[in-house]
Amino acid sequence: MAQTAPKTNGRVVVRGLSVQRGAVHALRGVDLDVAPGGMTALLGRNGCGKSTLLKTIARILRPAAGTIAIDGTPVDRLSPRAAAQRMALLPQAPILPEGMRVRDLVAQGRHPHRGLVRHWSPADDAAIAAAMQATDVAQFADRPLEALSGGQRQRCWIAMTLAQDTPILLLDEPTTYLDLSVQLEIMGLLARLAREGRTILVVLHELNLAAAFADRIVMMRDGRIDAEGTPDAVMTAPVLSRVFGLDARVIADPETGRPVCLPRTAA
Amino acid sequence: MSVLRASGLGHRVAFEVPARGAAMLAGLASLIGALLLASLASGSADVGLGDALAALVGAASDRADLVATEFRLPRALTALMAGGLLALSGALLQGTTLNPLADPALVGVSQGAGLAVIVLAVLMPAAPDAWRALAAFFGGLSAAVVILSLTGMRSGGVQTRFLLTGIGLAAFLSAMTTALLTYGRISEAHEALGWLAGSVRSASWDEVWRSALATAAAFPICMLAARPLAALRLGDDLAASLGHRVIRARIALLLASVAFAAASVSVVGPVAFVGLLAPHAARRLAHAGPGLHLALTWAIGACLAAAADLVGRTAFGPVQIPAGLVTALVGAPCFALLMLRTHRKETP
Amino acid sequence: MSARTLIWQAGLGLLLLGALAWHLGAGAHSVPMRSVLQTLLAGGESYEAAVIAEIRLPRALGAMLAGAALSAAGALMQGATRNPLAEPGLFGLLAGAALAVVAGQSLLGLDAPVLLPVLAALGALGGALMVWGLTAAAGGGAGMLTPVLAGAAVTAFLAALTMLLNLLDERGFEDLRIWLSGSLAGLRMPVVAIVAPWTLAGLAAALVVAPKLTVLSLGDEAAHALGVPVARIRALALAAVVLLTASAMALAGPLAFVGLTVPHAARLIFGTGYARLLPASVLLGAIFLLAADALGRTVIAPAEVSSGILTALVGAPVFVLLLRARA
Repeated sequence: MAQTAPKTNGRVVVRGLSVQRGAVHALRGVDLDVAPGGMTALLGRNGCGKSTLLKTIARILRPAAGTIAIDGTPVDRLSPRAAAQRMALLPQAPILPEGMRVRDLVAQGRHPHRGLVRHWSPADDAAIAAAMQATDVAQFADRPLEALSGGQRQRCWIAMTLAQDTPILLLDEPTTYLDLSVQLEIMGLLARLAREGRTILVVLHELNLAAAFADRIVMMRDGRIDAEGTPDAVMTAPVLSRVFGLDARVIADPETGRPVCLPRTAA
Repeated sequence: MSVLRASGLGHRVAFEVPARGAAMLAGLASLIGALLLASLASGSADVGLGDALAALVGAASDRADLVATEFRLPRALTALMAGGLLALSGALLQGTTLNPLADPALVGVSQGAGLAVIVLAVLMPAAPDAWRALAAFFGGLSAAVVILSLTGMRSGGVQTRFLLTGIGLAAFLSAMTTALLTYGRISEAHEALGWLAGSVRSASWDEVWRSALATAAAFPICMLAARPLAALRLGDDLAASLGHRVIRARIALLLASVAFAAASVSVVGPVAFVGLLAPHAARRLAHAGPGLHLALTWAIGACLAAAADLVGRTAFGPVQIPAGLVTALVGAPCFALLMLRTHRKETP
Repeated sequence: MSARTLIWQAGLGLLLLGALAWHLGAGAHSVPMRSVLQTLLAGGESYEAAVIAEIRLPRALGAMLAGAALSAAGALMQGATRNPLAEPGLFGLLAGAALAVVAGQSLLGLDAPVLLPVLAALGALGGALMVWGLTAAAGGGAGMLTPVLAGAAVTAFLAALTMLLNLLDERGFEDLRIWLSGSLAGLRMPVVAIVAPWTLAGLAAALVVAPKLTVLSLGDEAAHALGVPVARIRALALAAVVLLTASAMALAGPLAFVGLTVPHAARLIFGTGYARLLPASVLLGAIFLLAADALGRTVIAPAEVSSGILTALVGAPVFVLLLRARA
């Protein structure tokens, strides 16, 4: 890949993180270590705080207590631009900007690397081209975004975050509202990026998708981390019952060996 | 797609322009030239294009010179620049509120500026013309501040409620303005009514210089504004994670939008729908990057206002129709079409 | 009808009488209450009697009728469209009526007072249909926004046409400009007599249709399932709204926000059932405009503050509060 090598490792360390949203304690003292490289999936019921954790790491939300550090630097000491050079965020259901070409969308990702009057540089070109190639959207470069399908659009958003050229990628439910085959395609893309050395932290809704693609899984419940580890270690019947209130069996995928959750449907 | 590039100082200063967008911009520039010529050549006095051009180089009769350089030329130039400013104001407003239907004259910014100017005229009839611009700015700014204090600075609150609050405010402000007019004498009221309808009838070189100054200030502001504007269209969270200071950018862009609208209103009165339509038309003409899009928007706004003025003063013979009425009559149906398109897209 | 409702309505009735007495007595020439009563009951030849009978009484009647009509129209529209922001001004009816009146007078020379409500009614109907058509074309407009946007577009278009006609005909503008600002000044008894039947017919239709509107608030499909003829009710409501808007327009010109403010105030007291809400809105609307007009005549006497300013001053905050409450 023509992508320039990440300037930092991409280690995320969270300590004692608490977040208040209105009167609700959305996070209550979360500790989390995300090692450089690999994909970590955040799972849990609606309102368990997984999106809040992601947004707080991305500095969208302010913590009431606790610290977040990237490669040893506390994120609240970083300028917006410096933070944007270290991590990129893809929010859930991003707004579709009318009439914007794919190339212009992806180029937005270069903002943290640009100067006030330097609107374009050869490094920008290389990063944009590499990002569009990695996500296989180069053939749409001059099409407006709204002319694409849901899965194609999602790949364009991911291309934008790749153009940002950061060691860390944060994604909030990137597979929601997509067809199953497209979900698999997006997760495959993310797994490949993780293998290439990026640190990917992704909030997911779908248990089996996380188990099939993630290197680590973090289960959250009531603003705390309930369990974390490899998919094999975390996807167990007691954990699923505790975190999701789900009565399920866990079996191994006959081909990959990854755990698969089968909820009991009492007939 | 072919792309034109310019760079210098070892790539520390660099810009790129898609070829189609550049071609469109050149086309619009020649359209502006054609509109200027048409404006110079037409009117009630029998001064034709030849006389008018002769006057420009100082080789015409005194009368032709007066008509061309003191009446027609300043009027056309004022319309061009007022329209351009209004279009930029609309583009910034649509970008910051994430609302494709936002327009300074729809949400009360223009009406606030208009009311402030009318109040100034009623309370201090002898105030110098320059105060008008100041009054317009603070009137428009007050309207914007009222809307934002009621809806909040984050985009979640800004979208629907911003428009609704703005429409309510616009209705309120125009009720106040209409009622205020009944206190004036009939001749003044009639003149004020013409101004409120968006008229460049009385434009002189003073107006030209003032709007030129505002336009000159607008261009560097727009160059700085283009990228944050494009990023805000992606939503607050994404813009923030791209390294933009969202709230600060939105406040700055809104201030700029109000200033552009006020500069335009203080010269020609509140002209509706130019700020709404120009950004959409620019997007239709060429899928361009953020900076070029603003340039196209300016050019389209300038053309719209100049064409509206030309039509308004020639269509009904000796009676002159303010440009603002022409844009409202053309713009309202376009607005309705845009609204249909936007809502169909939201509820497929 | 509960005792509480009866008490409130009796209270509103008393308040209306009080507002009427204030309106008749107050003004550039203040008349004591006793003289007001004397004139009303026994007539008289004095200067005060002339002021009251010739100037203030028609104006007071006009204020009551216009206030009641606009409020009832607003309540009906809110019920029929299920949109809390519905009212004749924001939904394009006033702009349509204004255009029809101006066009009728300046283009066709139809300036007989008898024709005033006819023109206004045609215009209001046209404006309403344009807004309704746009909203329907945009996919029904489940939210509050679509019809308000459609109203803004239609209003801008029709107001531009009105302004165009005004500019082309300066003489007509002289006569119309005070009326176009929303004012009861100069209203005389013959006009009130011409318009009153329109208002009363509209109010009667409104009272007939009101009880059915409560069912409509459940949604069209539920109402249909309950055996309510939805389309017919809407048509009747529209007819009543047009009559009411036209009569208010003929009396007072375009008064913004009255149709929005009053029904919501009435809702605070009487709840959401339209059978009670509509009569309450009628009473409250009459009181509101009487008081606004009396206040406008006294606050900077001998000059006047136009009623349009006062109703907008009260109405705009109500509009904002409504939006905030819904958010």
